[in-house]
Amino acid sequence: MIEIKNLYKDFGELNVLKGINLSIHEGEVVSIIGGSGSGKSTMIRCINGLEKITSGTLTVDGFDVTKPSELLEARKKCATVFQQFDLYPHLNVVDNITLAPINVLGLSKAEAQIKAMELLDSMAMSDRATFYPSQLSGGQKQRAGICRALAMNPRYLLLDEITSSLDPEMTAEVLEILKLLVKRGITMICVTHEIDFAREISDRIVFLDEGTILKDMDKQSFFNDDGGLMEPRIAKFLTKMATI
Amino acid sequence: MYGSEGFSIYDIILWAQGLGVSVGVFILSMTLGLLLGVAIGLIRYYQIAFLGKTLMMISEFLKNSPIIVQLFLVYFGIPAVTGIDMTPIEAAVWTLSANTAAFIAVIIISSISSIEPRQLEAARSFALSEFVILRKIIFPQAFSVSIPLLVGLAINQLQVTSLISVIGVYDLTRVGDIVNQRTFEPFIVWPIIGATYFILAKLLAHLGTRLERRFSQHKIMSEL
Repeated sequence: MIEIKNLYKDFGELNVLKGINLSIHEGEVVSIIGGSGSGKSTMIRCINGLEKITSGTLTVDGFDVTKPSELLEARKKCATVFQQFDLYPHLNVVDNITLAPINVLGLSKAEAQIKAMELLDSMAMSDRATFYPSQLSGGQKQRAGICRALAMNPRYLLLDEITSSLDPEMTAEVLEILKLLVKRGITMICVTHEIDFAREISDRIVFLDEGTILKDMDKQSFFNDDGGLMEPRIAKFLTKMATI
Repeated sequence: MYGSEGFSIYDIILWAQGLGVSVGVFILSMTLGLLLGVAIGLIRYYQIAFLGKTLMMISEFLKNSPIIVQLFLVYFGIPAVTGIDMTPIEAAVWTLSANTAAFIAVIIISSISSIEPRQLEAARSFALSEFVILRKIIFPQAFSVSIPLLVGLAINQLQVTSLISVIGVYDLTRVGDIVNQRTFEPFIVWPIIGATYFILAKLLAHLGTRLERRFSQHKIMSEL
């Protein structure tokens, strides 16, 4: 379980997260939506320890991310897929995927490579295994990024606006893969702008507004007229997104 | 003419000895300089407080003062202050190593800062240790960026070794001086000495190109 209690995050004078309380259980697919600057990405970056939290607690399966000694354990349970892919440019696709399994999980090179090839195969990417990131399309880069995350056998998959840098066609291609992952029962925390997609795959929707959680509801209630849409802020946001 | 003598077979042996000393001092000081320079670069990259500042002041001095002054300072200064005797070759190796290290530290720091930092965050989020990140992600990329700069520096430092003759090292330039004074044939002696440095420099450049090709595969591939 990921447990966030009374989480505050400031960047100097700027208060980005203001008292977040959130629990995510295993097997859940939670979408975090909200406008730009609402703190969605910052929240993901607090979970994987890339941002130091200002106050409050954040634990991943009991491991406290604010303690350096426990952060590594917490990180082993979460794997992140990034908006800008952030692959290692000097390594080919397979080496990108196997770096952490070899050096963190202690897999042998051969084991890690077999696993990587299985993952690539499941995403129709096996013919790109020896390509360097610069030789891939955006959609292919992101599929490699997803493989890199899955190769860690994470308990939680953190997705940070992973389709925002992709054109619609590539977005569709990546979203198809996520649907497959949902079927496999992987826990996902998904920061996204794709409302339709969030509606399709999520169990729960968390709506962030200016650093606070405005609504945290199961999907059905969120999209009901007497649920999330009761909140004018959310109704406005959803109408805006629908017209884009 | 004053008893000028012609060339003899021994001049070739002298030339070979001088070449050996020059190349030896060069290789030693480049190796030590590389190790020291990488260490200084990393200390500054990880912003280790006191050490970083001190080393920066020393490297600023080494980069911005004439190498001949540094040679005199080490060769005459260190024995006078500490009582430790130094042979000219030792003084030459230490001075050139420190001088090279100062320049290499700058190359290392700028090469590291050219790496896209987001990939390092990604690596950290996968629980990779700082040491693995340094070895597997930062170092290979920084190295491929820095090869042309390091080769340029090496070629320059090779020419700089000719200055060590002033503290009495029998290097290639000193040998040229000795043979020239005996034979009075400057237009034979100095072109030969010059050509020797030239060939060494070209060899270095060639080696650099091959290294660059090997370590920049991901860049070459993307240009296809």
